[in-house]
Amino acid sequence: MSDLPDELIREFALGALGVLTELRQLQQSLAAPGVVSRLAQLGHQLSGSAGSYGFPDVSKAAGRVEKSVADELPSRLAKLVAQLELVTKGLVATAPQSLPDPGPPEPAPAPVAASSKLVLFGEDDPMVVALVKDRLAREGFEVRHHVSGKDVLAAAAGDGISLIVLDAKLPGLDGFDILARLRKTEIHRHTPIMLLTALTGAHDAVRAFELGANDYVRKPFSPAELVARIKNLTRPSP
Amino acid sequence: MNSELLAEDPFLFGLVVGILGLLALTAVLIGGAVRLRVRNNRAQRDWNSREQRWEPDLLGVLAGTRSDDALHALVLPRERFFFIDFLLRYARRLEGDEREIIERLAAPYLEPLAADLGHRGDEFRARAVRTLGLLGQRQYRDLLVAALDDPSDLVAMAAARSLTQSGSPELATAVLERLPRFHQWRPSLIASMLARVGPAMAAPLRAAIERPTGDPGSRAVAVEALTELNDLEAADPAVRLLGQATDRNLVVALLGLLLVTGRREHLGAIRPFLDSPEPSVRARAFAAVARLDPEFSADDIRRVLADESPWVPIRVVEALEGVGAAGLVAQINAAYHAS
Repeated sequence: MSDLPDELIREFALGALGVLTELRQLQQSLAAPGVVSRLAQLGHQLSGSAGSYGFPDVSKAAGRVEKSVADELPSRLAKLVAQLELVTKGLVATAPQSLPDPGPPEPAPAPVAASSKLVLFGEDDPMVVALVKDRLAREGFEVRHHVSGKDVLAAAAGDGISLIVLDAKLPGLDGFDILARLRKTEIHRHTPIMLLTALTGAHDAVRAFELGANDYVRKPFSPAELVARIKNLTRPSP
Repeated sequence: MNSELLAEDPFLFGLVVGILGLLALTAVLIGGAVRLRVRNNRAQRDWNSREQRWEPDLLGVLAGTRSDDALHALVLPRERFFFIDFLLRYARRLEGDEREIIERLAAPYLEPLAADLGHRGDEFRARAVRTLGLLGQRQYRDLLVAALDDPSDLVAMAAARSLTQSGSPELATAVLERLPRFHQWRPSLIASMLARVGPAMAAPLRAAIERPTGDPGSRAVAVEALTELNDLEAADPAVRLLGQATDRNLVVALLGLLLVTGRREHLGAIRPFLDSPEPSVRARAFAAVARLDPEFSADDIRRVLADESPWVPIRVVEALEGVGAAGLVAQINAAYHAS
C-alpha cells in the first residue's frame, strides 16, 4: 500500500474508478458480437489494399491493428480491468473516507439489438448530446450523432433511420435548412423529424411545422419527455 | 564584434544594449505565454477528467439507476465549487423532474455560496446570486429577495433575473415592488423579464399601474409588461391613467398598450394625443387610432405622411407591423408612393 497522504490516495482511487468504469464500457463494446472480428477484418482489408496501391506505411499500420485486435487486445484489456478492480477494491476496503464501491458497474445501456431503432441526431452542445444519447440508449435506441449540419445531411442518406432530431442552430447548415432539404428527398418524405431548439418564438415553431417537422421541443428540456415524444413518433401506426 | 569599437562608439554601444534588452524581453514574454498555455491546458485537462468521472453517474442519477450518494462520493472536498459549476451547466439545459434532481444534488454544496452573499466583491455576490437562483431557489428565496436591495446594481439585477425566471408571481412581485431600483436598465428588458412570468403576473402588474404612489418610470415598465402579455383587462385602467399622465414615456407606453388591447370606445381618450408636440406620442396615437377606428380614412393616412417629423410615419408603420396590421401598412405604403 502506498505511503501517500489519505487525501492523495483518495484522489488516485477516484481517478482509477473513473478509468475502470470507462474500460468496462469499452470491454462491453468489444464483447458485442462481431466488433472484434469486424475490426480485424477492416485491418486485413486495408492492409491488403493499401499495400497494392503503394501505401506501405498504411498497410503496415493496418496489419498491426488486425493482429493486435484479434490476438492481444481483448486479453490485455481483461487483464488490466482485473488488476484495476483488485487495486480499487483494496483501496475502498481500507479508505479512511467513504469511496464508491467499484462493482458492480453502472449497468451499461441495453446493447443495441439488430432490430433497434436508429435515431440520427444533429446537435453541437456536448451536454445535450450526452443527455439525449444516454437516455435513448437506455430505451434501446441506437443514436448516430453529428455536430455539423452538412454531416447530418450526409448521414441522412444512409438506410434504416427511424427518426431525425435536429438542433435548429447547427454550424454550417441550420436545422430548418436541413429539414426543408430532407423533406424534398424521397427517402425522408415521411421520416419523423423533431426540432430540439433554444429558439423560443412562436414563429420559429410555426416555421418548423410549415417545413414539415413532426414535433418541436424547446430547450431547456426534460429528457424523459423527449424520449416519450420520440417513442410516440417511432411507434408503428396501427 | 570588436569590443574596442563598442567602447569608442557610444551610439553603437547603446544600440547593441537595446537590441539585447529587446531580445531578453521577447524571451521573457514567450516564456510567460508558454507557461500560461501549459497551465491552461492542465486546468482544461483536470476539468475534463473531473467531468468524465462525474458524468456517467450523473446520467445514471437522472435516469434513476444510480443513487445521489454514489455521485456525491466521487466529489472531493476541494472540488465542490467545480461540482457546482458542473451541475449549473446541466441545470441550464434541463427542466421538469430532471432539473429538480440537479437542484437536489447541488443542495449539500450550496451553503458556502450563501456565505458569499456577504463578500465584499460585487462579482462574488452576483455569482452567488446567479448560482443560488438556479440551483437553490427554494432553499434561499429569502436571501435572493434581500439581494434585490444590494448596493451593487449588478447583484440586484442578478437577483431580479433569478426571481423572474422562477415563474412564481409572488417572487416576481418582489421585483415589481422595487422597480425604481432598476431605472438605469432598459425598461423593455425589465418589462420582458416580468412578462416572462406569464399571465399570472397580469394582476400584480395592473395593480402597479393603478397605484397612485407609483412613479412614472415604474408604471411605464409595468404597462410594457402588460402589453407583452396582451392583457385585455389592462385597457380600461390604461385609459384612466392616460387622462392623468404627463410623463412622455408613460404616455407612449399606455398608447402602445391600447394599440394592442384597446377597443373602439377608447378612441376618445386616444385622439387628443394626435396633436401632441412629441413625435413619439403622435406616432403611437396615430397607430392606435388606425388600428381601432374602422373609419380611419385616406385623409387620416395623408395626415400621418404629412407630419412635420419624418419619424412619425416610420414609427406608425413599425407599430402597425408589430401588431400584424398588414392591411393598414399596405395602405400607408401605397399612399406614400402615390404622393
